[in-house]
Amino acid sequence: MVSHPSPPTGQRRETPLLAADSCILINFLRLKSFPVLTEACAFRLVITRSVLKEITDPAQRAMLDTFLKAGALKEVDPDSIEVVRLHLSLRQDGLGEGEASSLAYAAVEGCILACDEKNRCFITAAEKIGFLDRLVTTRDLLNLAVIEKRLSLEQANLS
Amino acid sequence: MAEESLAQRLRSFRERQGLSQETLAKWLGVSRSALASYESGMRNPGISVLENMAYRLGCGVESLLTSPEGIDPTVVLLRADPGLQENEEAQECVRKCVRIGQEVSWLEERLAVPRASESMPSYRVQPPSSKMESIRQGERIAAQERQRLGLGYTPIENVVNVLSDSGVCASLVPLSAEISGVSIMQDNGFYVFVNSNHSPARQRFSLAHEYAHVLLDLKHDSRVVISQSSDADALREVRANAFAAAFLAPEEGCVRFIHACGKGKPSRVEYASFDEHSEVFANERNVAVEQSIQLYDILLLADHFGVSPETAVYRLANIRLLSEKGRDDVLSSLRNGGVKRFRGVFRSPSFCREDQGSSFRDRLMGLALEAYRRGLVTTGRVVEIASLADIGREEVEEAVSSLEPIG
Repeated sequence: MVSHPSPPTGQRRETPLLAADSCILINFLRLKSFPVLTEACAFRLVITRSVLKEITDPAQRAMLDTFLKAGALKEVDPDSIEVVRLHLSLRQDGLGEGEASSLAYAAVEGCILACDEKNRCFITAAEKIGFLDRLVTTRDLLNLAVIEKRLSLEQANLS
Repeated sequence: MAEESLAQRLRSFRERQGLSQETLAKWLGVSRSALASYESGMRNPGISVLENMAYRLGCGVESLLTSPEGIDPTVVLLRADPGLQENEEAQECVRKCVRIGQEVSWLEERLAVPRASESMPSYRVQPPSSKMESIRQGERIAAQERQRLGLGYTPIENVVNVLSDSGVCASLVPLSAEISGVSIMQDNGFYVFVNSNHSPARQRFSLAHEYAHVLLDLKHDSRVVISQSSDADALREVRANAFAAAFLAPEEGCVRFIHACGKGKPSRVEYASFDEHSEVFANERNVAVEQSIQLYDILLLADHFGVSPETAVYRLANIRLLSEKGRDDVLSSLRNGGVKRFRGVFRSPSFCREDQGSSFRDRLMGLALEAYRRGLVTTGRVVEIASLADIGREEVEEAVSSLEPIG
């Protein structure tokens, strides 16, 4: 788990948190506990357009659009050559479009990446670009929220 | 790589495909001015735009950034059939088929498994110089190909699957009436598109016809063959037609079928028994009128092999089971609505649904799951691949959850 100084309640951390793939978003959307991700962890949440494309369930997409409109998260479509090149390399390594775009953007822009993927392919790719220590999982985010008292244990268990 | 170079490559790639900025911008869902700014180097396209561009142009993203080669099958089809310009559904069908072919090829390479298209035989035949030679070549190659595939003389249940097993990615697309099919050779394999607006029997015939083009006509200097009615007399089209008829309805199978109907024997046959010393002769006489092949025999044969009644008639005539007069009589009955009179008593064949062919998609998913198990692709990539086969995330997650990845 990445350690970052806790901001006071109600404030956001400086380092943006990227949702690596639609899995992590869908996990929270399915549980209807998206505010947990956006509020309780106090990260500035960013997603790439490629990840957004992967949310194909109309109800989930509508919910996500509402959060986007409300500014609870920000959408980016990385266009720097450096990110694009890294994205391509990660695609060749076997990552999906959403995962590759997120990992490439996070690596170049210095973000933290939220991802539950445990497949060797993803871990090897992250390791290759020296990114392993900036990965967090759903469980890490919930633990952090509990430790920082932004979320009760009961709420975390419900999520 | 300098950013100007990406801009130049995007522009030259679009121009090579013969697409206007308006058309490509429409495909990408961006404004023409946005596309112009990408091509002038004022702005870089984002990752999602590049991925979409690659998908729409039937190439990998890396091709857009390096040295794009080859032709986009979608563009080839649009040139061949301008009627497709407004048919987004048909274009999407082609794009999906191309992407499936690319993913299969990529997964085969990643898993180091033999590529199905590498087992494609190379039949070395001279270009035919006459129609007769075209027909003979087509029938001979069809018999050899059936033997190679171990098909014997039985009907082919699903032609799409037979093509898939040979590494050809085949798909049904709504083309204009005069085009029956298109075959394309790409660096990563072969693609066949057949007109879904035609009847099921004609679709099967067209698939076999295009397979002949794949086997005999697609070369590095001739990467596209478009089969249209205006070229019906061209020798390679005649050869492909002969191949298709013989591939779907093999001679031995037709003979056995007609004999099983108690037909097709000569009016008089002499047999002899020899005991190394003397012979004994026996004669069999068949009443000619009992041997004559009727329209319902043709319909049964056509249904058995999944071809049209007309194809069955010409096939029997070519293998001398129907005389010229017999052929003309049956064709005349067919043209006078003879089929309708018998349709009530025969069931339609169940295997004439080529859109049910799933062999290539199944291979795609089999390879994707194996790649996941070996830790070569992520769940996200498997979901992305599965979406090409219209398989949802939940189905993939369930399948993946039962796997134990290596390492």
